[in-house]
Amino acid sequence: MKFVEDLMGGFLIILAAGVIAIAQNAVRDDKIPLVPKAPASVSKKPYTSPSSSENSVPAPKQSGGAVDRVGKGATPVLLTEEELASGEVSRERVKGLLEGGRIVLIDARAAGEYETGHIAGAISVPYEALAEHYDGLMQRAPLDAMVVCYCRSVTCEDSENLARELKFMGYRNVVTYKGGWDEWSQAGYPTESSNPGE
Amino acid sequence: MGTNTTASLRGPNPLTAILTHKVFVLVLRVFIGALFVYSSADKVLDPERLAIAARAYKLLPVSLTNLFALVLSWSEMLAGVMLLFGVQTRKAAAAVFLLLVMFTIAIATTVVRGLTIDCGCFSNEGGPQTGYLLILRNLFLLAASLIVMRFETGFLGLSRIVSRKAGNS
Repeated sequence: MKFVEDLMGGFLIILAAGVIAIAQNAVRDDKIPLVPKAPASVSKKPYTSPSSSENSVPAPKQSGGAVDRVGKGATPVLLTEEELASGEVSRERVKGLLEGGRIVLIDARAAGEYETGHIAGAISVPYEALAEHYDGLMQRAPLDAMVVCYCRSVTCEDSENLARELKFMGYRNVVTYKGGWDEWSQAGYPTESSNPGE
Repeated sequence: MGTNTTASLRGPNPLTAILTHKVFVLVLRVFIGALFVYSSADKVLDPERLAIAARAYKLLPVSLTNLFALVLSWSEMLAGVMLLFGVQTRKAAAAVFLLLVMFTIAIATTVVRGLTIDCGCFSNEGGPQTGYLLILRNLFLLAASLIVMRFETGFLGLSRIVSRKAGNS
């Protein structure tokens, strides 16, 4: 009986913590929404190819068959120990790996920036809206895929933040391309846009 | 000889004596309390990360994960602080017990489903991966919390100190 009473007391402590948590979240500057935005998996557009302009994640197939996965078949040996240790890859390495279709290249910038222009073959997973893209990304990229994240330039932090989140989600081989969109586009390497007419 | 045998039969089991000793229970209480405060500090500061870790388990609807992360992080913190200072210790240990039961079930489901993910147990920088070892570790912690619930005497606890002072004045 005492055990049950204590358990009830424990449950009340958890309830009290919930009240404190909601109150504390309400007054903090970087509060999180109590209910995350609904996953954007309402998109019915199927994944086509890494170079398609329909690369914003998620876009899972909605009926029948397996979902197409980017980076399928990628193995950890693609990145060197040094790259995995430093967590970074160079522009040339990204280019080579991308041409081989062996990596999942993720644009961590806002969706609008991605639509204006992005590295050819990159998919869009804005760091600030990761919760919305979570399910789609998990469906499309296996956890053992080689993942490279980039954002605008060496000064932005979204790619590193996203890489950390992806590791937390279970992705084991995640690195960043620090030069990002600015370096890539200025070098004249392949880019594409999601906006029609551009 | 016969008297000695009778005495030893009447005496407490040495293991039970240790497990129920007030100093041992105090050590367990402080250990679990400190562990929970440590593990929740980052989560309280940045619950979004915990929400992401929770989503990786795929046990809750995404719509509930933020609220879950907020409540969980503060539950760990509150129960940890209460244990650390010996406030309503048995109830705090019960809260820890309930949380650990939930963690253990969640981790067990990842093992059954073949998922290997960061457990989200400690800091937001990741943690050990889910697996049998984590389940084993949680079982030890569960046993420890049960011992605190059952044998806590208030020894060097704030509740007891305050009530004594109130009684004296």
